[in-house]
Amino acid sequence: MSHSIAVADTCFILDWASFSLRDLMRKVFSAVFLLEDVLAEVRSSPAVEWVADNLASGYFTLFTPSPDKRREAEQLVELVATRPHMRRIEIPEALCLTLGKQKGYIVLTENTGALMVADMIQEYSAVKVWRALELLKEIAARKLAAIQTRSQLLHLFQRYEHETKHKFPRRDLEEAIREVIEKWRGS
Amino acid sequence: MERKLEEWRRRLEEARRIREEHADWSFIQRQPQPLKAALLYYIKTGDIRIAARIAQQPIARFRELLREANIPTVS
Repeated sequence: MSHSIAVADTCFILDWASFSLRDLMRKVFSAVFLLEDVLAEVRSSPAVEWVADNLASGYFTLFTPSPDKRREAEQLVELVATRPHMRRIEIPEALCLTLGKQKGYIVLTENTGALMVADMIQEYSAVKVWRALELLKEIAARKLAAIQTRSQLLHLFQRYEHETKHKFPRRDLEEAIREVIEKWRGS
Repeated sequence: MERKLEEWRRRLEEARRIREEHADWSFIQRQPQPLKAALLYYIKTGDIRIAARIAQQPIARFRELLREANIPTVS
């Protein structure tokens, strides 16, 4: 049982909800916040039923940002827009990042712009931003699924890719597998 | 900073190449505008929000269209 809390962005939810082992996230996070902006964006997808179930059970909590939080998110969007080398972000992922910064929540996103913010803007460098890759890595490293060998580990990542039509960059995938195996050896 | 930027350029280029390689080009060519333009924009940039706006579709519906076109999200 974990006590980590996450805040999830639309692009993460739309892919993760298509994964047959999606409920494994309950073993990693004790609660997940969902912004109203994100709920509005997933409403018209097949993911909405899974999202509604999680809201009904109380695992997901709908979060309505205050005007102050929204202003801070707008400032982050503007800051990123002034840096031509960065990928643009919009209000939903900016809100996730500001919440991650203020509350220490893990930000779940597949948005490249959000990943770049944590990597390149000093003020946000402490924010933990996870893709599905990091969440799967955590599940595997803590043996929260029945995975004990390298081939089972590879199969977990490939299963996610196949079921969601999401692709992990090869180098990141190899690195993730190496890290998990090292953790297994150390435990 | 320059090294980080170079790494991000490499990542973005790899992601674009993966989208391009997996895409069902015949499906894309058969789509009416603005869907075709939106799919091509997504392959180039990976920006789903802008692509969905070009397609005049909600982001969730556009994600389904990407699956139909066999265009993966990459990250």
